Amino acid sequence: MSRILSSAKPIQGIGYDPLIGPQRVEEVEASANNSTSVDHVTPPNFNYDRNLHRMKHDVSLSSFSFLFCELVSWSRERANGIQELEKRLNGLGYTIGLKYLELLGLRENYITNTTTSKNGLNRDIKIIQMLEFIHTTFWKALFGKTADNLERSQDNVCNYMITDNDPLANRYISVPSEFQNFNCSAFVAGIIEGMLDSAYFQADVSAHTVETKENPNRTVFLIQFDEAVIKREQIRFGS
Amino acid sequence: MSLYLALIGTRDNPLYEMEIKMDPIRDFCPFIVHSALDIIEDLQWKTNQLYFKNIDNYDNYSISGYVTPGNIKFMILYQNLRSDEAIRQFFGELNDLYVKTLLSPFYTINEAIRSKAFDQKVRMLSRKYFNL
Repeated sequence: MSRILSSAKPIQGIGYDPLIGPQRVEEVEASANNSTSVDHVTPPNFNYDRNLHRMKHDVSLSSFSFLFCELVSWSRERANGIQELEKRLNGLGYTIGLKYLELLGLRENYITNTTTSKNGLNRDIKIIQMLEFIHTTFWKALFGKTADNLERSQDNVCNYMITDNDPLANRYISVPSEFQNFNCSAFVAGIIEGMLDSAYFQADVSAHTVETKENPNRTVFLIQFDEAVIKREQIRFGS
Repeated sequence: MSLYLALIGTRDNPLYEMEIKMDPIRDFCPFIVHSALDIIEDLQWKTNQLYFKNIDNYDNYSISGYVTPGNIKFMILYQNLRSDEAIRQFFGELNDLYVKTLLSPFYTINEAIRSKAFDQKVRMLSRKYFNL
């Protein structure tokens, strides 16, 4: 840090334009001097000064539930039919999943780096590693517990299932009888789908209610991988 | 000491580029780095590390790469940089910066990063680790 402060010339940002390519500060300044004088002081940006690695990231359950209820009713007003409603919720989750994978991966690597001596920088490149990451790390980060079960379908090699006995998204939402097959966890399924897609494990994820006596909200997340993903796994790891 | 840095998106599109003192081959940098993409895309399914050092070279320049969990690639083309460890730490902090950009609700994946603040932070990083 001291080197940065002591260096004679403060560093300025000039931004990047894909049409021009990389530019140099001197060149931009020279062209600016030729025309009118433009103030090149970079404005402070609080986005970049925040710390991503705080230990606690908790959000209160009531504010989450309130926001989520609004999400569901907002989607319901705009959708015709249950299928479209689920698709909308799925789509909302998808955009989150794309970004969340990067954040979670970074935090996970940071934690393993600070708590253990080994160099824990990792990506998941096998299907089973990726699913375990979702089953354990992702579920813990989002819901504070691991998912209850992770299994492989016996009829179809592309299908995997993650089970949660009491999903947070369904806890305060009662589904009316005319919406019998609807499950609010479609939102969470969307997040999972976004994460898998951005890690190059293309898959369709859907949420289904499979109730038992003890757990009326028990939800199964069905993950159907693309055949190409399974094939890649066979070629790379021969399993 | 010279350096060219490119962040490459999932559609092989550049998200951000920076070059410092690359004069003799300044205009070829994007081509050299893109030709190394095939190598890194093969390697990324062989090992589960993030940082790939010295995957390719051109003349006296070397290329190292870094793949984030979401498959964004950070590539640098360089000559006479101090050490591999410095490059690794540089990539680590760059990953931090990239994720902070990504978390902005106004940014979508694979969009070019035009932010001046990002540019400034990356230039500060290159001064901190490589004294450039």
